[in-house]
Amino acid sequence: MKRVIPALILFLVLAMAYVLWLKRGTGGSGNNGRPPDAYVYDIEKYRATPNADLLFDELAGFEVALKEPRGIAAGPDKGLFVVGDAELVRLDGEGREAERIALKGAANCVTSDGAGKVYAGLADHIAVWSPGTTNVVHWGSLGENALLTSISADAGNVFAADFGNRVIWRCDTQGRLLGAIGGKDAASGSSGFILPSPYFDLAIRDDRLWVVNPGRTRVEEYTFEGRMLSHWGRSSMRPEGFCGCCNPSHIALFPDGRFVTSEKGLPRVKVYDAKGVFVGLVAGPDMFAEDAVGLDLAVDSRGRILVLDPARRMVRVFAAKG
Amino acid sequence: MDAKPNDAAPDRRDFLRTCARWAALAFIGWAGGRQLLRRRARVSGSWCRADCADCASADGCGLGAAPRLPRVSRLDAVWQLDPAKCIQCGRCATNCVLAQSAVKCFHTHAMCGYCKLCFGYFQPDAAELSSAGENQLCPTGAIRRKFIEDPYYEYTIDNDLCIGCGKCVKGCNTFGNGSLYLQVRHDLCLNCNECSIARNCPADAFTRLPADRPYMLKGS
Repeated sequence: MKRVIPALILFLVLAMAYVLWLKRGTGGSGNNGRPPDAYVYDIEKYRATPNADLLFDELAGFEVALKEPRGIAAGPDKGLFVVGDAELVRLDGEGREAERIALKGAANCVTSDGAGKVYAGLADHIAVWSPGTTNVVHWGSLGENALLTSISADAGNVFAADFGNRVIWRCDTQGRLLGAIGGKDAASGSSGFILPSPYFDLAIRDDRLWVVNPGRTRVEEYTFEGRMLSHWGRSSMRPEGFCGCCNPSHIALFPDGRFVTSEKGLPRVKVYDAKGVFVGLVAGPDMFAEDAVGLDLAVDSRGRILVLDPARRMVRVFAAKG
Repeated sequence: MDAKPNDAAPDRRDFLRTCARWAALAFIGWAGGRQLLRRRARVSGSWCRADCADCASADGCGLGAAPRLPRVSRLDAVWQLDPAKCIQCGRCATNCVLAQSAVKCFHTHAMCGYCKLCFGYFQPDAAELSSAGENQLCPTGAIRRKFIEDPYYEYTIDNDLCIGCGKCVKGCNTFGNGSLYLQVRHDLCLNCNECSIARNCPADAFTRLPADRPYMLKGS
């Protein structure tokens, strides 16, 4: 009996060890299958937006009857234009669809020159439409690598941001090419526009061209001839800066000099003053889907900020509080 | 007077009895463990051990497995992770039967933006853009960063260090263009009859691919 008890204990220990050895191949972390925190990418702490930080109220939005809305522009009156799929849609001031024009291909961006003409950027060329007509003029191709992602126009110039070629094309209103801005130039040491992903936006105001340079997390100011005058913006996860590797993705301009920007990754819309100093939040990350991208922007004639939310297929409208 | 035999000296009979007793105990332990596993397999509906990888038929499984998978030979199909479905939950690092997961980070350089501030490499709130450990996102330091020209940097994965947690993949997908993604490496994968990671994948991102086309590479 004296020998049996130690042997029995030894047997039980060995049996348990054997079972554990057999079980070791089942996987699992011993944490209900969840991996340790060190293996999980967590940016939730940046997504919360305290209401006190928001300087704008969200008004009722407009639904857009497009499968993939991509671009938005404010019209000369209270209306607005939205492009997506292979169509251009004009909405009136109440968000009701007023006109719908078919294009020859998928459009990514749209702008109004303020005098009545509407320009849409398709993959490799620009289409011009005059509201009230059904006539759409398609300009020539800008090359097989072209991918137009933004367009802006005034009375004499049309600028189109080409992600594929990493340049901005300048044309006159008849479609004649006047030049290109922003190419890589070893002589001047310019590395051009740094565009890791296809978000390359521009806007014009008072004979100045404002362009996002996402890879440098900044907004740059150019003359129409392509000379860089200034830039502002810095990288930060905090609201004052632009998050991630490549933001802002879109900009829009207030007539008084302020800027509106939108970002991806941590989707948020913000306002900066004319010198690029952070003013406040329009919409925080928790107001968008986690993977929201392509938040194109416009400022309408009433000073409201229009945000195209492709995930919801909506134009969301924000007005300053008070 | 005859000398009394020494009680401490083992005789042959004692030796054989002890051996028989230990052999019986070992057999009972083995049988008990096997039965326990078989019971568990029946409860969970499936079971697979890594060394059963050559098994071609679920019916013949010695552990009583009842996989829900279609009957495929190891030579016919292999496990792979669909990057479009993957949510980078981190479980690939901890649920593989191997000590170090067969899932690794892949990098399609043709897609990469060569960003100076790569969110697959740096912590979101990195104090500075240096390769100091506290600035790196990867828990094992498996990404190498090399300066190319201002402002471009090249990033490469050290497969020996990568544990397949997907942390870098999530950073790249969230902020960048998704050139980093996870794949099962078939020089490491044991191709278990029922993959332990697949069973625990919350996104159902694991699938079977023909063995002659075993990868779902981006940009190809």
